[in-house]
Amino acid sequence: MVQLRTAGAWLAFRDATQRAGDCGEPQGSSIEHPEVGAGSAATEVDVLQPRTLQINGEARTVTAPDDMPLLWVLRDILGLTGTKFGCGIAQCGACTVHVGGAAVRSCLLPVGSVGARPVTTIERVGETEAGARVQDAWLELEVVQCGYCQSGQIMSATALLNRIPRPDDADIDAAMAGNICRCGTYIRIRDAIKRAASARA
Amino acid sequence: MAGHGLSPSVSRRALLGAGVGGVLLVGLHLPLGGRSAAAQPATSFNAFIRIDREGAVTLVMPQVEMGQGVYTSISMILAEELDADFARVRVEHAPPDEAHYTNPMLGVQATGNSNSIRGWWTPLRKAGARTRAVLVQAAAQRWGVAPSACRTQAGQVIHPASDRRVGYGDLLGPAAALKIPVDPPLKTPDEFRLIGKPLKRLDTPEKVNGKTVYGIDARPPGCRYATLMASPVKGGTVAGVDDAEARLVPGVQQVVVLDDLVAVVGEHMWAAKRGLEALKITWNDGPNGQVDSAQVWAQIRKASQQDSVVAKQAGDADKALAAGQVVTGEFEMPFLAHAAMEPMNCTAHVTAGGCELWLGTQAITRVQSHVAQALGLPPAKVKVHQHLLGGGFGRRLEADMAVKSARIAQKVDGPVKVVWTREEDIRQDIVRPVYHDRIWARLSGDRIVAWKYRITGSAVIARWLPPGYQKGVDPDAVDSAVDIPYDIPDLRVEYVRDEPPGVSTGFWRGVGPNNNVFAIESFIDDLAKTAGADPVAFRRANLGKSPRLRAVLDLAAEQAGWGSPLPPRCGRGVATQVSFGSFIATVLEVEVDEDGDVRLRRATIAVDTGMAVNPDTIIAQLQGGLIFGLTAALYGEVTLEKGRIQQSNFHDYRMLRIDQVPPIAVHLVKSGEPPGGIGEAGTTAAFASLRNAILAATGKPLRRIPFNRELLAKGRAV
Repeated sequence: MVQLRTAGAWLAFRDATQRAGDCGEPQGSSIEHPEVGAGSAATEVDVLQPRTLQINGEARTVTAPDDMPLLWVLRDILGLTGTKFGCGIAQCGACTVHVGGAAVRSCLLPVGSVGARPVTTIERVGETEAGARVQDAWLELEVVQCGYCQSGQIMSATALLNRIPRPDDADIDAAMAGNICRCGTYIRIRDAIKRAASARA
Repeated sequence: MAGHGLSPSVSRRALLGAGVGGVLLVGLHLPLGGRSAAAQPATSFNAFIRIDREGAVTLVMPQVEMGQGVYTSISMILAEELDADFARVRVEHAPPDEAHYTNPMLGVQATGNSNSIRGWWTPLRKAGARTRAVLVQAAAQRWGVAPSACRTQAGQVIHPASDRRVGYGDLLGPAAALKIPVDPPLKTPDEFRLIGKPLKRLDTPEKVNGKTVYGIDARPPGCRYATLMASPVKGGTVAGVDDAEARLVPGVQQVVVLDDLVAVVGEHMWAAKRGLEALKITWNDGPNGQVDSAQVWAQIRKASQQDSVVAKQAGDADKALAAGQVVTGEFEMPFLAHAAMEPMNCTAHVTAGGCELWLGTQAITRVQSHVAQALGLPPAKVKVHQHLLGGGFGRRLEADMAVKSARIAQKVDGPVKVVWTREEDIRQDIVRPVYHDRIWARLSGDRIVAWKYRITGSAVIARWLPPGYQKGVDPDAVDSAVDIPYDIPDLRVEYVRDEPPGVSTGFWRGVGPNNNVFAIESFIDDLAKTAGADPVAFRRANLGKSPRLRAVLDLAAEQAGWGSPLPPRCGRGVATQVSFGSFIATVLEVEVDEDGDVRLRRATIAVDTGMAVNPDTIIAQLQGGLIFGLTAALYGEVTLEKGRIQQSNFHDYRMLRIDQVPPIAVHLVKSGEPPGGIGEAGTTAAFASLRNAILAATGKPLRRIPFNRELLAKGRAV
């Protein structure tokens, strides 16, 4: 399985590359040398077996190769287009979903590694207690601009609050630095996470 | 539009809305309060306002929503003068229709240059006021009272004397029989109920729950998925394709080979992507195959020494410069990619008689006409479904993504969604051009008495909007240079057009003023240093004829604590600008560590943008715009080698992230002037404020974007 870098590891990676004056390919997320699907599908004749995934509380059966990233299963097979494609190499966080409660980058997560773990996407995260608080705070503080990255931001923020109910600035940096916002809504994202944390029932 | 009833364009929309021909209904209605878009027959009062019998108001947006909040502010302007119930308005994308939706400042139906509110402020107020006036007339006639005895509020006409009221939806029939007043009075600002209030945006509720359908999310029935690689060298062609391995990839359905690109079509993006990676493509690079960045810079620097065209002249700058000691400065800006979070994409369906497109675009009629031309169709046969944009930043002013997708779709049976990988998005960007600027000035004490400013760079306007390119001057490239706010008696602005090899150049958030304000405001700090003056005091002394700019400068300096002590290796930089009709002063505070790494500590922006339509949006745009510019100032550069763009994704085209972004305080000056533009302005503010802050922190006057951390390391000289 592809190693998904946590945001903290991301920071360490970035700092290391900055120091080295080199922004090379991140470990474990190279598209040139994918760790996924090591046995090239081009040389195998697979008969794909349907698999059942637990998506947003429902059992969904899909036919997809093991190495197909969860992102494309969600978007192109299941039509759950709220999860976004941004980079394909786990650098931007737009594709963040929850797998077994943890925030993961679905653009690199092979569907074959998901197994029976529950998957939650932006479409239904609002039905969770923390997800609803985060969405409310996002609207109260009018975080969103173009909105394209915000599915991923909200999924990362919700996972953070589930893990650390009262995050400080360093916690927010570590959890959210893997999510790029090109519109630059970061200041309001930080404020909204704090708002959502303080709104805890 | 003087007519009543359903206009032709409305009929067309109604047809689309009904989903004729089994087409997926992707036309946008952004309902508030969970109301769904009803298929009620509605009366169109003009190209912007429709009201149905239940009083539901639909507003048609002449500008596109790409995050800048314009659907909300345009709705506020229309609803203000109409006195609509803002909680019940619905908004709808405008179709391609230059006759009704041409931006009055741009001269085309497009969204850019922060012209939306500036261009539409008066026309939309009039459209709202006219509609309101005819509804008041209809009610007054029904009640047998004078229109002047009636007032309006939240979608109703009220006759206070008799305590009667009637909803707009009940007045459609009578109103249709009346002549719409041409010039009814507009509200005075003290009558505003919506304008000036920080209202919630109409588009955000569906952006926090994944329901928004961006162009990349469009899925017409039967849609296949494709991704592409175009010639990595501009002007190159496909020499050969070995698709044997690609065809074995599960889910791959088709390989499309065109002159200049190859696309793989599959069951889903993953199949298309793996299929593309499995192709062996060889290219004929063509004449640009050896272009590199060194050649680009050598060419523009040489061009800057050659004949220029005068863009503005006051007095005699050469004579005034010759009269004493001249200070000079040179500044350069690199190629930049846009990297909107939503990668380029377009879904296209080509049929025997026409073409249907789904995408988010800043220039819908350009998309329509360019695709029509590529396919040999009349424009009317190209149907374009507009979507919300996952970022535009000028990249979606172009039609290339639609043209490529339509050309691929010509070879595909049924609709095909073509999605650019991030690598393709960056390598095929239409880049912000490189610029080379040189300024000559002479001081007398702390006054600038002579100024010559030469800008060398691509004329994007000459390609994108040829009528705008007059007498050899690109008005965008010299925009904030000719609007220089400083009081200088002898001044000349010159322009040299230089088209860089190997790339196509385009607009990028902040456009021409980014370069102008970077050069001018960096150089102003150099002049202040020469004069031995404080940068804020020096600017004040030379801003005698710009009270609006001086006022925001004073406010920003005060709020930023200008002059108060800072820790070692910290500094504050100031930059002022008159751009996009807004007056802005920015103070940025940074720390530069011994390795040359820049930490952003704090930013303060003061802005006079005239009347604020939605003040919360103005704050958000300035914060986000500043971050967009700071990102470029610290990291942004697209380079070429063997004709190929070297950057490919966010690991080598870096973005500022949440842990690097400072607090940004925005202070709005209350103003009764007409609204200025704001979407670009924060970006423009970034470059010189950061450069001058670094200068204050290190004593090093940087001259080139992006700022080179190696030069900032302790012990290195600039």
